[in-house]
Amino acid sequence: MTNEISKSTFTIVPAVDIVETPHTYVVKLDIPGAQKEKISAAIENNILNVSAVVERFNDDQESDTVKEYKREFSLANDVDVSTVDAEYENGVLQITLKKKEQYLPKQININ
Amino acid sequence: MVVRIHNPISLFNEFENLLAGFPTAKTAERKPQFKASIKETNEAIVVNVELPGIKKEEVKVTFDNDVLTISAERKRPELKENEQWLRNEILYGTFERSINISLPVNSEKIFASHENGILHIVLPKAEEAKAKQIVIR
Repeated sequence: MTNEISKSTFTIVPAVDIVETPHTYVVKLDIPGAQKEKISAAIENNILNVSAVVERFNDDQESDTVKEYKREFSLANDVDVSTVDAEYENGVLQITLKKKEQYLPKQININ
Repeated sequence: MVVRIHNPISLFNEFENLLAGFPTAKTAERKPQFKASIKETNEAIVVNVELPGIKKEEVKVTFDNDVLTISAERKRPELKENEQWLRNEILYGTFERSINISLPVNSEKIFASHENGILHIVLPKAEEAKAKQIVIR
């Protein structure tokens, strides 16, 4: 009663939550089972590109299944691409994008 | 060609059943469904469940009468007044899944760990369930 499953690769579009706060956009992606080093997040030409490779190993420590998570986001003009923060915890990748100074809500002083 | 439909109402039922397989607009009824893989090795049954965004303390695993039950709650983040959802694809809520383990296992030695959003459970087989090599004389 052994299950012989040959090595296979799946491409997965991870589910995403995006929350806008006055100063940031917080992007959360479900990427269960990844090692931090196997996750990449990059911004190029105002496009945020997230990808991760999750491998599952069999008893002989050979990888038998590979899951490839991939998703792209077009960023709005108000995102400050120079300060992006990303953390991975409990299988969720959280990316915090800050808004540019000139787009932040301002308090106007009344003289 | 004449198509005879003996019970036209049954068509509606079938359609309803089809619809049940799709996420509907009734978001309140949508529940998180987590993927599981179950593997049998020579020594054990190995179960891996994807539980992204759930802390170790929020998962409950029980084994009773050959049924392994995993339950968890993924709490919906509460937004402050000046925050708003731009997209919400992640499903929140309570979740339960039961898996019938058809082989005798050593329930005293069940082992569970949780890492990077994956719950990993090892149920060692009972002696009588292990494959035996038969010596040919």
